[in-house]
Amino acid sequence: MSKYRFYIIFITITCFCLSKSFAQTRYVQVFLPDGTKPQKPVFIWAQFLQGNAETKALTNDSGYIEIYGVGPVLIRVDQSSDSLDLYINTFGASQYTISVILEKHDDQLDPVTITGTFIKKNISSNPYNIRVIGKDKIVNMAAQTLADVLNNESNIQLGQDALLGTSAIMQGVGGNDIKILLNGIPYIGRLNGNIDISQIPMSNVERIEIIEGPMSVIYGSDALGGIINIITKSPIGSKTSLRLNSYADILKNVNFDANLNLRLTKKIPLSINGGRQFLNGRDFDKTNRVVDWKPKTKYFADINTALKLNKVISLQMGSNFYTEKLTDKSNAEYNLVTIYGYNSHYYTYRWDNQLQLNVKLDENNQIQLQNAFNLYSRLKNTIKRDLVTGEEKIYRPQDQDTTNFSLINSRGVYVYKSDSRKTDINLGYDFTHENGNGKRIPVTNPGITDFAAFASADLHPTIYLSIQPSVRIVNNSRYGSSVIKNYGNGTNYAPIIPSLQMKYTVSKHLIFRGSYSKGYRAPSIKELYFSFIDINHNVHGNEVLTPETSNNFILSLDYRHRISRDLTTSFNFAIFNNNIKNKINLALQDALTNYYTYINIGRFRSQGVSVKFDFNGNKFGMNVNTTLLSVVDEIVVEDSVTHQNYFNSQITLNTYYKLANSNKRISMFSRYTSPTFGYNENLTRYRVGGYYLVDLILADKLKSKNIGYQIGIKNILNTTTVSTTKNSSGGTHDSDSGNLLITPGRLLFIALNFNIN
Amino acid sequence: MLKKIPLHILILILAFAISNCEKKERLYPAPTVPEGTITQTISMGENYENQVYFDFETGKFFINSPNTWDIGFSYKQNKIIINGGKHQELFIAKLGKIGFNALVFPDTIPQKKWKYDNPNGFLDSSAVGSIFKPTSINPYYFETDSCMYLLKLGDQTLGKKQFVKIQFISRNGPVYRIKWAYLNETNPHDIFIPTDENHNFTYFCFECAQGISNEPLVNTHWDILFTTYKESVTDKNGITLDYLLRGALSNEKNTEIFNLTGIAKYEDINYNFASSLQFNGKLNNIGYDWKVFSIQANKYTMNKDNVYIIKNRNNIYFKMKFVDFYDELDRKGYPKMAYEILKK
Repeated sequence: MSKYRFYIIFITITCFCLSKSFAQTRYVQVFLPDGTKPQKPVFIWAQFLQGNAETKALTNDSGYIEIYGVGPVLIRVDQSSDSLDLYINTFGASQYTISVILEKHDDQLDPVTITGTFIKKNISSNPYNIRVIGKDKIVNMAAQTLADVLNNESNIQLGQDALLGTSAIMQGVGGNDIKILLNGIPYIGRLNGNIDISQIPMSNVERIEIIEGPMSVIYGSDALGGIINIITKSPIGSKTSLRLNSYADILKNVNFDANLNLRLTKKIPLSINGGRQFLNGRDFDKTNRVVDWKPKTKYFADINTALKLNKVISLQMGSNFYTEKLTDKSNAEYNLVTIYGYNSHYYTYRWDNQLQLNVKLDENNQIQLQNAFNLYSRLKNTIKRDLVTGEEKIYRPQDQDTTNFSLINSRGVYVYKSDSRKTDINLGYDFTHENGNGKRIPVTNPGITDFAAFASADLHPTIYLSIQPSVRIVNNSRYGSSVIKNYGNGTNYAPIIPSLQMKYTVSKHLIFRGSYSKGYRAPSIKELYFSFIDINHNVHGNEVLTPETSNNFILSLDYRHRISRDLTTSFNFAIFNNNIKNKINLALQDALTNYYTYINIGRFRSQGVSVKFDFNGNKFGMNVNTTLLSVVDEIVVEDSVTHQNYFNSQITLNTYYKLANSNKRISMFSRYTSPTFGYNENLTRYRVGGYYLVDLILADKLKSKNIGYQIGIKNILNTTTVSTTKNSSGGTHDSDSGNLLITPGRLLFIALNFNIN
Repeated sequence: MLKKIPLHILILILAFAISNCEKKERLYPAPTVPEGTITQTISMGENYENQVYFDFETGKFFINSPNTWDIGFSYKQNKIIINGGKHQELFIAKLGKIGFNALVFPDTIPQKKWKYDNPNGFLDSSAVGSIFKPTSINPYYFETDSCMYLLKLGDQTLGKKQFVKIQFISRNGPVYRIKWAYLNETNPHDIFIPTDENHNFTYFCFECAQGISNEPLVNTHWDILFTTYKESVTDKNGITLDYLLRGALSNEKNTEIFNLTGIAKYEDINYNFASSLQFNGKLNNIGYDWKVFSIQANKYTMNKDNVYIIKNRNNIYFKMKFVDFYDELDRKGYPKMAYEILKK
C-alpha cells in the first residue's frame, strides 16, 4: 500500500511540475446567472497570455470546451444577449477547470439600444457613443413632448419659433442636418429646415436614443449632425392593461392620453394609444392682441400590433396619426369706423405608417425589412374677424395655403452573426422617395428618390478590440447615380459614404471608442424648389445647390460600474470635430426686392468636448453633463471669405432624492446655456444671451392603487425671454424686438398616471 | 378592473381634459364715429395700376393711368420733374457742357451722380434743380447753361433707347425748349413744350416723342393725387434705400396739407385748431406712411394715429384720416379715407 502511495505521490508531483512548464488541457465551462448550464452552445474565446495560443469554440453537449496552453488565460464569452453581459476575465495558471458564471445584464446601467445596429445591443456593445433617455426619466420630468425632454440634455440646444415650433441643434449643427426618427423611420415635414420637436408626444415612448455625429452611412441624407430616434413601447409581451395619463398646469395647459394594451388572440397583441394636448398659450403683453406663445390643440393616436407567423417570420405594424391646430392672432386694427383682427389657423397633419418584417433564418442569420409610408400636410387659413360684431370670413381665399409632403421608405438589412462574434456583417439597402406639392412648390414633380446600398462589418481582431467599417453607396435621382464616372465634376455625383467605428474594451467597465464618419446631405425639395412670394416674402429655392458633405471625428471614453446593489456610476468623456462643406443656408440676396434664396455658404466647423457623469444611488442620484463647443463658419460671398467663430457651453445638472420608506422622489432638473451666436440674413452676426432653467418635481407611485403622480414647478427662475441683437423682423415668428422666446414662464403643474392591469 | 382606481377621479380628469379649449374672444365695443364723417374708398387697384385725383369739396374723384410719361414740365415754377412717370427706375445725371456728338459711357458714371426728385415738390429738391436763370430779353424768358444731362429710363428692354441725352435750353413764358437724343444719336430733336395754367405739368414721352396731357382735371378741381412715386427711406437699421411708394401728393396749385399724425387726435380737431396751423408747402405731407406693412399680420395695417388737415382752394378746412387700405374683397390698393368739413 505504501508502495502504491509512493507512486501516486510521485506521479502527482511530476504532473504538477510538468503542468508548470508544459502546455496542458484545461476545461472552461459556462453557467447562467442562476447556476444552470446554457441550453444552447456558447461561444468561448480563450487566449493564453503566454505564447498567444488561443482557442475559439462552442461548448459541447456537456457544456464545456477544452483549451490547451500555458499560464494565465483570458476568457471572453459574448452571448450578444439582451439579458446577459459580455464576460471578459483572466484566470490564473493554476485553475485547471475554469468556471465562467455569466452575469445578468444590468439594464439600468447599460440600457439596450437599437439605433445604428439593426439588432438590439447594449450601450457597451454598441460601436456608437449612444445616449439613452429612458421612460422613467421621461415620466419623472413630467415631459409631455420631445422638446420637454431635450430641454434637459446637454449638447442639445433648442430654438423656439412662435409659428414653426421647437428645433434642435446638436454639436452646433441643426436644421436639416438633424434627423429625427420614429422607430427608425424619419419624420417628414420640415419647416425652415426643422422638425418641430414639440409635435412629438411622449405618451407612448419607451426610450429616446441619441447619436451625435453623422449617421449618413446607416440613415442616409439629413443625418449629418446626429440622430434622435424615438422608440415607442412595443406591443409584444405587453399584458392586457390600460394606462391613463393626465397633466395640467397653471397656464391652463391640459393634456390627457390613454394607452390600451390587449390581445386580439393569443398570438396577436394590440396597442392603442391616443391623447389630446391643449396649450392655452401665453401672452406677455396684454395690451395687444398678439399672443407670444400661440395656443395649440393637438390630437394624436397610434395603433401597433405584431404577428408571429411562425418561428422564422414575425411582423410588426404601426400607424400614427397626429394633428395640431395653432392659432395666431394679429393685432386689432382700430380704424375710425371699424375694428378688425385676423386669425391665422395653422393645421398640421401627420400620418406615419410602418410595417416591419423580421425573418430569423437561424441563430446566425436574420433579415429585417422596414417599410414606411408617411404623409405630412400643413394648411394655413386666415380669418378676418370683425371684432365688434364677431363676424368672421375667410381672408383672401386665393391666399389660403396648403403644403403636402410624402415619404416612401423601405429599408432592408441582412444581419449575419457569426458564432464566434468575431465577424458580424450587415448588408442592406435603403430606398427613399420624398415628394411634395402645394402652392409654395411650383414644380410638377419635385420628388427626390434616393436608393442606397450599405454594408458594415463588426470585426473583433482581438478580445478587446472591435472595428466596424461601413460604407454606403448612394443613387440619388437628383444628385447622380454614377459613383466614379462623374466624381469630382463638382455638382453631379453621389459619393461613397464611409465610416469607421472602433471600440476598445479596456475592461468590463471601461470602453474607449473612436470614430470617423463621412456625412452627406442632398438638398431637400424645399431648398431646391420652394417659392413663396407675397408682399412680405420673396423666398426661392435654388436648383443649382450642391450637396452638403462633412467629416466627423469622435473620441470617447465610457465608464460604467455598478459599485453595489444600489449604487451605479458612469462617466463619459467625448471630444468631437465636425467639418461641413457647402453648408446650405437661406440668405438675403437682394435687400431691395427682399429676395431670399438657399445658397451653399461655405464651410462650417464645430468642435468640442462633452463630459457626462452619472451617480445613481438608492436614495440619491446625480447627473452632470457639460459641453463646450467652438463653432467656426467660413462664409463665402462673392469670392470673399469671412471667418466667424464663437464659443458656447451648456451644463445640465439633474439630481434626485428618494424619501425613506416611500416611492416619493424629489428631482431637480437644471440647465445653463451660455450666450450663443448666429447670423442674420445679411450674414451679420448676432448674439443671443445665456439663460438658466430649473425644474423641481416630486414624483410618487401609490402601488396599491396603481397610481403615480408628479407635481412640481417648471422653470422656477421664470426665464421667459433672452436678450438678443438679432435683427428682428417684428414678425409673428419673433418675440418683441431685442428678445427671443425661451419658455412660456414659470408654471406649477400636476401629472397623474393610472395603470390598470 | 376599474374598481381598483377611483373611477370618479378618472371621469373628472377626462372631462376636464377634453373640455378645455381655446376661449372665445370677447367682442370689442363699437367705435364712435364722429357726426358728419364721410368715407371714401380710392381705387388705386391691387397692382396700383391707377392714379386717382380727389377733390374733398365735391367728393369727386377721377382715375387715370400714370404710365405714360417720362418727364414733366411745371407751369407754376421753372421746374422739371422725373419722379412718378412710367419708368420706376428712372434717374438723371448731369454730364456737363458737352455736345450731342460727345461719347458718353453710362457705366462709368458714379452711382451717386444718378438722381431723382424728392417728392416734396420744392424746386431745390428736384433732381435737375434750379437751372433756369432770368435773362435781359424779357422777364418771362429764362435760359440755362445748356449742360447736358443723361436720363436713364431704367428699362433694359428698351435696349439702346434706355438712355437719353437731354439739354434743357430755355423757357419762354409757358413754353419750354429742350434738345434730346438717344445715347447713340448725335443729331438732337429740338422741341418746344407748351404748358398751361390749368394744369400743373405738361408731360413728355421720349418713346412717343411728344408732349402728353396727363392731368385729366384742371388743377382747380382736385386736391390730392393718389399715385406711385419714389422716395428715399431710411429703415429701422439705418439703411437708406430708394423705395417705390404708393401714397398721396397734394395739388401744388392751391391745396395745402398739414400732417398731424401723432400730434392731435382726429376727434379733437376743430376749425379753430386747423386754421391756426402754418402750412409748409410740401406736396408729400400726406405721403405714404399712413399705412405700414405688418409682418405679423402679413398685410398693410393703418397707422392708427394718422390724421391730416386739408385746406383747399376756397380756404375750406377738412380733417382726414385713412381707415383702411383694402376693399371689401380684401384687395390691397384701395385706401379708404374718413373726412369731415371743419365748420367755423
